[in-house]
Amino acid sequence: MKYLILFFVIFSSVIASSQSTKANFKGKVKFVSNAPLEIIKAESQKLTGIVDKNNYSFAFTVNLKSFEGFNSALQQEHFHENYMETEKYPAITYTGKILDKIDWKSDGSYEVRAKGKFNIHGIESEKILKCKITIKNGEVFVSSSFKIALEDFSITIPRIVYKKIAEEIDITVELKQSN
Amino acid sequence: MNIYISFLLLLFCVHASSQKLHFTQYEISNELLRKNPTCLLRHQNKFLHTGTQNGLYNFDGTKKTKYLRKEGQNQHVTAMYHDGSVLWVGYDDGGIYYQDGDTFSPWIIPDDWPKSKITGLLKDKYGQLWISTYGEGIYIYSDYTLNNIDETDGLGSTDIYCITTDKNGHIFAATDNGIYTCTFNECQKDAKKLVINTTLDTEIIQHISYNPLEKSIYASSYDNGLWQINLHKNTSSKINGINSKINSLTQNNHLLIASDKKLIFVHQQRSTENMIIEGIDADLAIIDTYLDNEGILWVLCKNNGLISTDMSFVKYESDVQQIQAILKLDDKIYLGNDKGLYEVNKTGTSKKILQNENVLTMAHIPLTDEIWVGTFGNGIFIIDHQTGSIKHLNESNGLINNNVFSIIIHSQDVWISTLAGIQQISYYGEFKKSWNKKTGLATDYNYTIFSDSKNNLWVGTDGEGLVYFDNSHKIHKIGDRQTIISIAEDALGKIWFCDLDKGL
Repeated sequence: MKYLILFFVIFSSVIASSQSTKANFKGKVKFVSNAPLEIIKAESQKLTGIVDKNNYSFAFTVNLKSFEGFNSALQQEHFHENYMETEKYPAITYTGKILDKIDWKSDGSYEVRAKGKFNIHGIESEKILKCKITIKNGEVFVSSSFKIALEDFSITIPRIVYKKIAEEIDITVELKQSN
Repeated sequence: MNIYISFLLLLFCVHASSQKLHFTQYEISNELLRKNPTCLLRHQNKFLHTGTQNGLYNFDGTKKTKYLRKEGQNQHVTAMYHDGSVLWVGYDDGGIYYQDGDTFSPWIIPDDWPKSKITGLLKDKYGQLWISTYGEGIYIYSDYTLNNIDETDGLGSTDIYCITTDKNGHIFAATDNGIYTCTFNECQKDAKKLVINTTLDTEIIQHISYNPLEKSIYASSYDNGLWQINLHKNTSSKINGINSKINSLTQNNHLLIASDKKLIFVHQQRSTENMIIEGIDADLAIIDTYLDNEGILWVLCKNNGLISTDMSFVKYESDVQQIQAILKLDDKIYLGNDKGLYEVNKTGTSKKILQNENVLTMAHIPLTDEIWVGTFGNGIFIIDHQTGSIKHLNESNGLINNNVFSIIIHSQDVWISTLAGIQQISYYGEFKKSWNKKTGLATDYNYTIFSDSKNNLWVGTDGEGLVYFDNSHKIHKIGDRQTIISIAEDALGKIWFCDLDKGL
């Protein structure tokens, strides 16, 4: 819970420090666990965040309870109770800074790198992600695909199901500026 | 220092395409793995220092000693540096300790203290302590004052991955925005981007290592492989074939690159700028490596803890006897003795290249890809490495003497030492200039010739000591009536020579 509070503190500070340059984003995040014996997919449409176009800082979050999909209700229950411990760590956050320059005022497409700290399952870990930012008619779109290793966030999988859950999860993110 | 005996647990080997490395694993490995090891350092042939998330471990060969900060403080070691007398240890919370003998003490100064992770520590040639941090840029402790270099001083990012220094006291910092050169002289601080290559300028550089012999920096990018930056020529080039994420760069006689699943050795030859890259599949999940002065490679890895292997010798089987000259080129070894020249391949099979020649010396000329073979009594044979065709230089076509003791590359020419002085020859066999006793050399009998990193040319003589040519070809004499048979330069720029009677 303290990490969620921390995220909102950062989120608020980004807003407070840059009222004129802030951009709110909404979008979806998908994950795929591609293990030898089973493919598990889930998606949340509740990904939200903010980017300060002036100093390139950003903060994004998604509530774990908003993920839908899975192959069964029991699998979804295991996801929350056994692996993610959703009651204890209800959200995933990613806060950091875009490393490459962007001309926010002109239409164009940019391959940029974002460096930030993920907070998943109560563990903080820095990741550099490659993202595509597209600006079209003043609207900003963000997309990214990357992998998350469960080991990096102390998410342990029982040996008996290790062929059903991948060690690395494929994540796809799509966002659109909402203001 | 018999670390091997005390901690020997088991031996295992890692197969390579061209060689097999036998690793020794140490009993301490299990304990280290429980403590989450982070970094590795060995000073000279003394202690092996291992940083972990739960304290510092030292091995003295017979026992391990654990060093901890005060109870309740962060024990996560993130950087280590030995300045020759004291071991400096940096921590995840910005704390710095030093170990002097058995004393392990906090480094206390009155100034504001770094609060970010310490990523590098080093002393420059002025004795100033440089501290890189992940979040606050670089600190310099000079004249009892802590000074900070950050974005306001020109640094591109305050997240510094590591620092290294060159002989001139410049500090190079690896950042999210390429490499920065920093200086601090008489309270004047400066940070400038090392602008060499537009691609490299925007790379996230996570590891850098300075090579004093080549005057170059090796830099590994987060996602774009390994680069060599030649500071002398102001050029950069990407080293092909290295695509996986690099976990550590270590430099001693050659560069060692470690990723999760691979160990890569880049063997360098300063005079030719040639590189031989050997990759070894090693699924070890490497955290850090250290190649010590004894030629021992220490590897800290998630899969096996602490392991080591002796890198100083690689065995090639051959039936060639009384070897007088050796040259390694690609996968082949060329061996010369008083009966001829032999080519030996990896399997140990030898083929005779020159018959009935007394081979004394060899050199490879990269530009022409030719091997120059110096003989006693029959001049020089030039062998095309690709086709095997042979040319012959001797007294009848312009060589100053048929007794050739040493062949080197210097100032983009071939230089030879003989029993009638030394001679400068172009790569294509055109004779340029020669020196003998009449034209300023101490003697006509010159056994060895050597080009140092400052472009001086050294000549070892028979009974007249050392002679060197400076950059303007002015001749200087050093020593007395010594007979010098071999000359070399170490990484610190010191010249070593071997006297026939008195040794090294």
